[in-house]
Amino acid sequence: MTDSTNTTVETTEAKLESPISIRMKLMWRSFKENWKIFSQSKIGMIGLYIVIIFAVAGFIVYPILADTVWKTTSLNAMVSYNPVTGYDFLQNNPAPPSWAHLLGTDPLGRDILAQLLYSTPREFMLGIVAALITVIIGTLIGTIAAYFGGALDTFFMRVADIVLLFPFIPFLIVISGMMQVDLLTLALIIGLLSGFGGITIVLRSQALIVKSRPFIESAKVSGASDSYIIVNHIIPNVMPLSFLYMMFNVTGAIFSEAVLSFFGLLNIKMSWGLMIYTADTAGYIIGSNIWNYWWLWLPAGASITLLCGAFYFIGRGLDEVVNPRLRKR
Amino acid sequence: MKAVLEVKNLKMYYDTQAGQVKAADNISFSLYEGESMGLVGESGCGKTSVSMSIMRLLPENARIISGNIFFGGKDIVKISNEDMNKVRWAGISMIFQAAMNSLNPVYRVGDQIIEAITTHEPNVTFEEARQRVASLYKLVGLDPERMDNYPHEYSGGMKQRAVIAMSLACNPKLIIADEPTTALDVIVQDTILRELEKIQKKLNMSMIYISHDIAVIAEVASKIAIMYAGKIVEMSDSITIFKRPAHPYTVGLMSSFPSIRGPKKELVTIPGEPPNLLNAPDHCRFAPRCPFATDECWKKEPSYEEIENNHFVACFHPQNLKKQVRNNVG
Amino acid sequence: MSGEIVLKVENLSKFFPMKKSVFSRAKHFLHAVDNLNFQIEKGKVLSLVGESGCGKTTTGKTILKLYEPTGGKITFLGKDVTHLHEAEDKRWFHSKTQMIFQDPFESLNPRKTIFDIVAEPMNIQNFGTLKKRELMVMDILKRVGISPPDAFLWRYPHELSGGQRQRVAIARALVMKPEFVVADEPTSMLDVSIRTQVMKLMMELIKEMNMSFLYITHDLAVARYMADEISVMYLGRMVEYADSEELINNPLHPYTKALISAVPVPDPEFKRKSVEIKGGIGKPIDPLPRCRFYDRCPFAMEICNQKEPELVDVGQNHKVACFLYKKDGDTVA
Repeated sequence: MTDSTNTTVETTEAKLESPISIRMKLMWRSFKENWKIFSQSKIGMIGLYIVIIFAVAGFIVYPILADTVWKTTSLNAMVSYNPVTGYDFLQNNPAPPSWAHLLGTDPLGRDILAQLLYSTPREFMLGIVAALITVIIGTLIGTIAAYFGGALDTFFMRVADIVLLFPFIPFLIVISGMMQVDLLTLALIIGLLSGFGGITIVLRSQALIVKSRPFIESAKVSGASDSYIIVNHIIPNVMPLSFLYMMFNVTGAIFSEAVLSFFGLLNIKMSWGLMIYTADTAGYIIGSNIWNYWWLWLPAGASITLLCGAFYFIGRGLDEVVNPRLRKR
Repeated sequence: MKAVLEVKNLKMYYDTQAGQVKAADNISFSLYEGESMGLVGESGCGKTSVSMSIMRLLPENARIISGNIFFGGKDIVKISNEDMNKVRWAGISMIFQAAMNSLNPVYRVGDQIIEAITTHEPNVTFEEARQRVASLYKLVGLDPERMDNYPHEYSGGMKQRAVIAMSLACNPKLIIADEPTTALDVIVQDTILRELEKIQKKLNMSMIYISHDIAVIAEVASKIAIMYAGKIVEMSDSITIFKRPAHPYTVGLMSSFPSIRGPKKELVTIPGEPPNLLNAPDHCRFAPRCPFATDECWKKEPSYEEIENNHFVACFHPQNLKKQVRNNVG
Repeated sequence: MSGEIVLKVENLSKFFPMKKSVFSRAKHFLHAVDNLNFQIEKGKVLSLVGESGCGKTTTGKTILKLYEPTGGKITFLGKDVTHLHEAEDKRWFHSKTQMIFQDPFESLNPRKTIFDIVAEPMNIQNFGTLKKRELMVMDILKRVGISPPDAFLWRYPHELSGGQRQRVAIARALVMKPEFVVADEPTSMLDVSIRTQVMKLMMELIKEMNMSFLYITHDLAVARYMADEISVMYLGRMVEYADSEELINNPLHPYTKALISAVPVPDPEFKRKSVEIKGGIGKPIDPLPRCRFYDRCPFAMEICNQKEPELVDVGQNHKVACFLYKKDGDTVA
């Protein structure tokens, strides 16, 4: 792009050949610039590392382990590592950490580490699906409400108020009593509920700022339609903030799942929350038991905290990319 | 006459990730009692950096590399922060660029000025301070009854007057007005400038006006310094600057303003844009835009010299000197 | 004087309702533009001058359909364009009119490249092939002094200086060769040396492309340089209208006189005499039927409080809305 000696016509031809490759290069360049800012945020990088560690453990390490060391063979027929149904007949369960079970077993004789790793991809799935739904709904409603204003705006904002005041967890408890809630349904419910709630208000106010900027009027003067302006001007300028809030929403979704599972309200095979639920219902998180059987709840609890925290940290790091004012010089 | 403020070879640089920005480079001037000086230049030329250095209100990444600023016999570059706090307001006060926004919206305007007085002069009682604010209000042309109003109840011009009253609150010897009327409409600008001029004469204060608008400076300042790319390129009394501008940049600036008086004239443009002060060049910084530039200008920086009595220029090819003017007339 | 009339504005008004909430009916109206009449010939520049809040920007935006006019009629190239309903009419109007904004930092979308910004009017209008658009963008960028254009095509606005950005904004406005352009203080945010460059560039382009301009500014000196005719506005009303040299040298309305006398003069030996006017500028909310300058006017008479002065021709295409300049017979009712 710096060679200025080329004549206009030649370069025009060259540019026209592959406009897509130019766009790709531009995207790559802006990604690199943003990465440079993000990578300077310690907290963001810590979050990213934790997420990567969990992802590697859940998506790569677990399938390999399940297929090799943890595979039930004739040699170790008595020791099962199946996170959902497995039972270890060789010892009294729950058993403390040992070489056979690095993090011990639960009251039903299942390997805690296997449960932990097995649940990880599901936590990711839940968090990301819920957050995606939230952000898509929030961005659409926020920008549309801000752009058109008037009664539509008032309506969506009152809806948001109601959703914000909504007793979230009790509602989920009631829902799970009425129907079988699996992980995907839960992701959908959480996504929908938070999509109409607080995030809409935040993104709407951002969209209002964008809407008042002169480049919107500039597009209108050229005859741009409302949908053109929303898609081409407002959404691209709200997107960074949407992306930021997506990170915070992942945290919220994983957290809600943990709470519901802890009450045993979800129709799922295994999750971190469910691990704690199992230990609790079997009476191991009461009184002095809590410290004698720490491996029943601590790994799951720590994982929830770490993963939630990690996404929040990434959000904080992104905050510095999105809001230049927060950047340290 | 006694110099109130003397700035000697001031250098203020910013450290950024990309390198060092020479925001103010080798700035020297002195200001006498009752004198008003104008600092003119385009955005990014370092005029605000100079005022911030004098007030020592520098951002974290800015440093005064060298030079002295003498005020009241002391070098305020070197004094402690506590001593500097005493100098601010009571010695030197400032009217900021976005003055309208420097009033806190949740406090009454009068109370904000009273607070400024009582923090710098703890012996003053509340009633005395209120009395003083009332007289300040009269001085700047505001109704003292408006003291108990909130900033949003003031118009733009009234806010500006209130900010001026605040800057006068501790009887400073020097006021720095950074673009005091830029955001105002012409008629309000006119009245505020007149007010400032009147007050300055009455209280025999020294003033530094900072502006990009050479016409505003022409009306209020008796001495003018033209800044370009972090340096003072020309300084003299205002009549000399306007009648015999010597630096090509000053000459260009004069003829690039459309005027409302006299016959309509063709505007002369200065080609190009001001340089980036990041890793500034070591030749004359105006050379790329200068119609009179020669090889010499591209080799080294011109020194800042007195070419005639009290007329300082940093240029190898000064224009419009007395002789030339006489020749042209004759 | 008898050129083709590109734009004609008759009794144009724009009132903004002062509403408290969506559901309540507005009781008060801000008369931002009130009963405006003017016309612009082909290749001519009319400048609207006034202080902030006088309605000059609202006028420009109402003409370009950013606001729906409350009343009056706008004729563009002989066609009534007051209200546009048909898609085809809208397309036609928007491809022939454009606007240049004040702030080059805000009028360019920070997430778009220079190519996307300049080509946007063509993209919206679905004009030509991609190749043709690209060539036109290169052409106009070169013309406004962004050179070499291909070095800038894929940059973002934040990589450009203020002057370059305003050139890009001008390129964007002129890429489809509009007939009529509203320029809203296009140079007031630029530095002095850059401002002159941009003003000269616009003058050249206006001549070259034979466009009509509505040049909005608060600076009479800039208006004098740019415009063939100047119209002074005060609180939504046009108070004076004349050829630019005539208006600067022979202002009639007390407000115009005050405005001209308040402009600082770049000459330290010149002692300017200001016309003192009282008070500050208000807001035209439900204005009384009287001269809007009545409160501040040093020459206010009784009649000024009783009815609004009409714009009257005092000869030589010089019009003024002030009772001081009405024939004696008409003044006393």
